Amino acid sequence: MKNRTIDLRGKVCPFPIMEVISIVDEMNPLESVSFQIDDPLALKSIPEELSDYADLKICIKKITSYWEITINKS
Amino acid sequence: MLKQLFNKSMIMIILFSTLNIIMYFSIKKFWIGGSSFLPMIGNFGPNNAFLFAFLVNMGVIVGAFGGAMMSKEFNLKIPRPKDIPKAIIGGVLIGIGITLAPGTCTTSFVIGFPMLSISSFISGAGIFIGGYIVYLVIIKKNLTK
Amino acid sequence: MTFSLLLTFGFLFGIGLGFFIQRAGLCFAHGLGEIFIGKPKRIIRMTLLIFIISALGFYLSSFVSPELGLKPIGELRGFGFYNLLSGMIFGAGIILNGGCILGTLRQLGEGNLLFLIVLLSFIPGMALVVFILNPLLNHSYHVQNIILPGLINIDPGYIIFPSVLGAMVWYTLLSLKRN
Repeated sequence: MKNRTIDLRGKVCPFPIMEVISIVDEMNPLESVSFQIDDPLALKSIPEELSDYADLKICIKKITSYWEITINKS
Repeated sequence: MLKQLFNKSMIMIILFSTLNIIMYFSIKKFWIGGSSFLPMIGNFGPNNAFLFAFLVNMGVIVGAFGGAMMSKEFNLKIPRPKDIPKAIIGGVLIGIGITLAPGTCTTSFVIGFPMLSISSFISGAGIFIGGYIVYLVIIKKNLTK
Repeated sequence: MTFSLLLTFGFLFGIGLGFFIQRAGLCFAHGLGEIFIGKPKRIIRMTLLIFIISALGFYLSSFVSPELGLKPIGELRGFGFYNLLSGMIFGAGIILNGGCILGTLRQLGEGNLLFLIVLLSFIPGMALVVFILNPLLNHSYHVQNIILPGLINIDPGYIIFPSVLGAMVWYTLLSLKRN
């Protein structure tokens, strides 16, 4: 299971949401990608936008000054 | 079903819109965006209307601060030098956009559409077109393929 | 009511509005980004909800006081040419710096000082139009303050209720539809 970490901290909106969506749409089954986000709005919209994908599991972890959103594709 | 219809974000949008209507009923004012910044260049507007709108928007900053603190999303971020030019250019473009034709900004979507204001429908189309051009020219090629 | 009391109320209402948009995560720069990347559902749902509540509220307020009701927002300048042009300039600006008006205020409240620079950068843009362009243009364009019911000369109710109903149906379908 390949796990990539993509650092989107400091990226100005709407870039984070667009980057996440374009990567998630290209993910292969059993792949896992972690995004480092420090934009509170992206923190809300990413899980909402991806809630429709039945084959994705989303886990959010708060690190010090940012969040790590890990997306696993089954 | 209900959870699908109204998640937390949508409930907050309902409260935002309802509060704006309560403001209209109670003090005969509603939220506006663009013109509210004209006091920054000395224009307080008819009957100080823009000054009032400016105060509302200073309150919006304080309220957003409260929301961020409550949800532990407050994060003091010092601008990175490389982001500053885009911020300045973007800010100048916004300044031009909100004054070249008043009511042309977020106000169009939040107030103009519900008021059935013709200028807001046209402004809204313009905002979409202008945004799409910048997306194509600058953002799209930086997205991971 | 004294003007200072009105300002106080305005500031307090602003705090409430700011709290809700921060908790909602509302920003039209972000929303346009979602639309351009092919995920328009969230921002359309938010805009529909704002429309449903505000259109009903603004329309019904006319029965409470003649001073209220539907009002033109801004001005139709040059039969809409300047509205389209300024919209394009505004749209380009918000996608470039990552925040519409509400987005700029919200991110300032969240501690992102980049948006203090954005806010201060409004000043030269506004000054350019107000002190240089407007005197040059000097109202060489046709100005109208008009809402749709006035344009087609029918009672606003005949537009508000069908459009609010349509927005409710669209909102429900969008909410239940999976991407």
